[in-house]
Amino acid sequence: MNVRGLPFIALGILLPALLAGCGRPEAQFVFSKQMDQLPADARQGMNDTSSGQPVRIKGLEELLVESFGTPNRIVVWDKLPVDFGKSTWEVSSGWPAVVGESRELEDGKNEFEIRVRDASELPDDPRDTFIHWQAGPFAGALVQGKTGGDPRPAEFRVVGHDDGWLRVRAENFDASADRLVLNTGAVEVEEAFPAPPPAAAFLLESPPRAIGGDVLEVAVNSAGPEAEDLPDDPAGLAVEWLGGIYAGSHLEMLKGGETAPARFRVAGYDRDTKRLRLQLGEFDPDRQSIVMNIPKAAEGESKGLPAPEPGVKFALWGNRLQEGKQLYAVHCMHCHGVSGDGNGPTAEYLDPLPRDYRHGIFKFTSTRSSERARRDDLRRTVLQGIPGTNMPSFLLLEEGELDAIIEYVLFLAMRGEVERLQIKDIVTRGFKKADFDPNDQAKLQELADYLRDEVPQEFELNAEIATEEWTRSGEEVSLVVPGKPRTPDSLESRQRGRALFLSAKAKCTDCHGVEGLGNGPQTEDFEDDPATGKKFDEPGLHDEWGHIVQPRNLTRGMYRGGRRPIDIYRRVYSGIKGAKMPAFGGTALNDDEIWDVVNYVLNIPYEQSGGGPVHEPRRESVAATAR
Amino acid sequence: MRTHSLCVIAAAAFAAAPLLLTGCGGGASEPRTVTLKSKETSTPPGPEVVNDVGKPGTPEAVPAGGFGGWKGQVVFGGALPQLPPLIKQGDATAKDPAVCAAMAVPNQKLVGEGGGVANVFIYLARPPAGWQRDAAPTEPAVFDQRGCVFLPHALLVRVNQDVRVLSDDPIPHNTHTYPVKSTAFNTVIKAGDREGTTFKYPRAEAEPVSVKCDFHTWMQAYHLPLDHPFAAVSAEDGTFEIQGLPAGTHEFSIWHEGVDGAGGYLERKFKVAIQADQTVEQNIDYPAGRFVADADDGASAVTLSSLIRK
Repeated sequence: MNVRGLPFIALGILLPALLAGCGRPEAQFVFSKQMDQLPADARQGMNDTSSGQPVRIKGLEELLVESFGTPNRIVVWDKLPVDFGKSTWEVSSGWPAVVGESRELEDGKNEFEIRVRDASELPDDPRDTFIHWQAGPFAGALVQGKTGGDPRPAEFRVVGHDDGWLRVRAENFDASADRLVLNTGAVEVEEAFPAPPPAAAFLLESPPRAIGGDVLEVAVNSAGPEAEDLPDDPAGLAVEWLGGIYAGSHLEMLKGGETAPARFRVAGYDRDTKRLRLQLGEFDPDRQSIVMNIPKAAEGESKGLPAPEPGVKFALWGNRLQEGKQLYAVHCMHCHGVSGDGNGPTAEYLDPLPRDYRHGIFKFTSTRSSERARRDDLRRTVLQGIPGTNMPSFLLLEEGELDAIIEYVLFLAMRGEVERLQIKDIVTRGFKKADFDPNDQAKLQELADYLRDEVPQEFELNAEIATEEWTRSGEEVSLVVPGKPRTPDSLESRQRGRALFLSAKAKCTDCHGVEGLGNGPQTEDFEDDPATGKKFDEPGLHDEWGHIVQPRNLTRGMYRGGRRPIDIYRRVYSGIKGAKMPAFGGTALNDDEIWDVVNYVLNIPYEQSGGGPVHEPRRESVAATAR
Repeated sequence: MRTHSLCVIAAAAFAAAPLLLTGCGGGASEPRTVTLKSKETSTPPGPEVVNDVGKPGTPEAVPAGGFGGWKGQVVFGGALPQLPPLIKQGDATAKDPAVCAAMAVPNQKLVGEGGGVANVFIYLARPPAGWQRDAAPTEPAVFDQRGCVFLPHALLVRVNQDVRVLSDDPIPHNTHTYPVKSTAFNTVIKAGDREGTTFKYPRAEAEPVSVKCDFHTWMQAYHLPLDHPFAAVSAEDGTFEIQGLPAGTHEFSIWHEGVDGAGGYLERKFKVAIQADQTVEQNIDYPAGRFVADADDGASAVTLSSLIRK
């Protein structure tokens, strides 16, 4: 046996294997552990062979990726109440200018020269820009064949410049065959152009260019109030055409059959010239053709992608969420995890655990007990951190950055909610891995029918649940506003608050204990797990996420949801969502009583030191929030 | 010889190392893209799912066959086990004994009389095809608490119907629901509140929702919010009746909290053939083996170590 050859054989086997492992790893949202409850076919999809031809049916994983994407390939599902970031742009930039002088040229039948009043308005090299007349005889001028035919808009292009004079040519005008129909009322020009009058205003427009292949280049102007400028690196942002030939365009297989939407994305941006490169993604010109919104006659003339018309508007989507994702990856992900499951690499070292957003529940809110959080609540939590936990303050983030992070967190929350609800739907429908026999053909067909006919709609409905809940929580009516201003902090008020705290009426001591240490008798009880109906193994209060939750130790003076009196008021009024703290507002305690409890609770840290200094709240901020 | 070949492997691996290393990485430079989930990519509308709230039924599909009813009894397959009460009368160790132990708190995991089982939910998972959606009842569904027991133990609610939570106890209760599709209701109901606090389920649920009191953890009830009226809860003797069903065969979900210990379906697709202008009689069997008294039976004897706080 040739032992010498062995290493090379080994290397020959190893190398391709190693290299194959070196593909670019693609970031993914981690699927929920609850996915394990589902049969593999429900997760990953299946082939329906009932009609003879195998038909692919999407599984839940594919539906999720299709609707929410991956961290680096975000999907904008505009039905969700998330500010993905949208800015509107107009193809072609214009330099508004007003003609100062003009002169006809002797040699050019379709050329003339103009000078603008203020030459500083002009770009350094205006050649190859088009002129869009806003007034004067050329505004809306048409070119028509002398023998008739359809008129077409006259195009004027700058072909040269000298000492402030622009040499302008009528591009699509052939003096021997065409006539020009001017705005002044059917004036026909055969010999030379009439020079425009001194007040004819025009815009210089950079033409959009078809670069060839699947790339376009357009000069742009901001056309909406949303964004002054693009992010530093807008590459990858999605383009939505709001008009013109590409609005509603789609790709069609040359052999017929399937169609797909034409997806344009930003490929690059030159900040100085304001030129955007747009690329048609997932386009295979050998197998597909693009069907555009242009008359049949004009179709087929152009090779590759034709340039969009100047003046066409389009929207760029996703910049805010992309920014949010970048910032989230830097600041949040190591604790809260890629998918917001609260299970980042650092999470296992933390107590309490980082929030798992996927239930859509955030604890510290200013809303009524049946409502979700408001963006302002998340903002306060991110800005101030959560005292007594590992959640730090991110006061140093800039305003826009904070907004972007919050939108991304909401996006993750909604993704997680839809995932959870849909898993629950499939399980309650009776498709559970534990009792699913993949060899039972009847059951498989039942699953196939369900996945094909009903799951997509259920998925949409679940997204609507998230949409409704998050939209409502943002409305003014969801905000808890005390019916009365705070009762002035006084010994009497604290005493009344203390009496309530200890009373059977409010039962605060059941959880928080008589001394407010957070060690009430309820913390020793064994609770039922609402998810399984079984008792938890450990005594104590459990939260929405199934973790032990300690009632706040009120002697420390640290309040996780904020220390302003209005914060404590809202904790008592609405309870703490996802935790066991119930809502007292509007039912068990009235405004006066809640304010007395607030005054007492804020005083508990000072009780043992014989009264201590009177807690002085920041009245102005209370007034501001309690408006 | 052996040493030599090892050297060759080492050398080859060494030579390949840079190649391997340069080929890897790049995760950070993965291109970022945004995709619009535009209307044309979303799934084309398939057969209409009628379990969403507010969508009108299709009136033309109303069966020409008319409407009928179903009545019957949930019959337990054996002698009904007598479960010991959760709280004995006069038990001074119970929480709030003056109120909660004034009377025994029964274990309602399995109750009934005359061989019937009470508190079984019998319902259509979705309204029948062609059923004309009606408005939620304006009468509130009343949910009371007395002697630290929820009344009723099993309650049918319509979507967007007011649920009025009352208390007849001289102590407050903390009523806490655990719905899947709606937001939880977790509110303290003050002592002796006969006016009540109302809430709604804005969306239907596929299975009954657990309702607890966090102050008195043994308190347990079930609500089932539905977007149609084709449902019943079996009475004390296990009997039930559902009227107004379109003629034809329906598949009912039969759910009980005692099934398999933690609550579950006795049957998912209990077929009943409804005939016009008649009330079909058909009983539901509850095999004794399906009932497990305690979900924790044999599963988790509390060990000392689990009592130690982590």
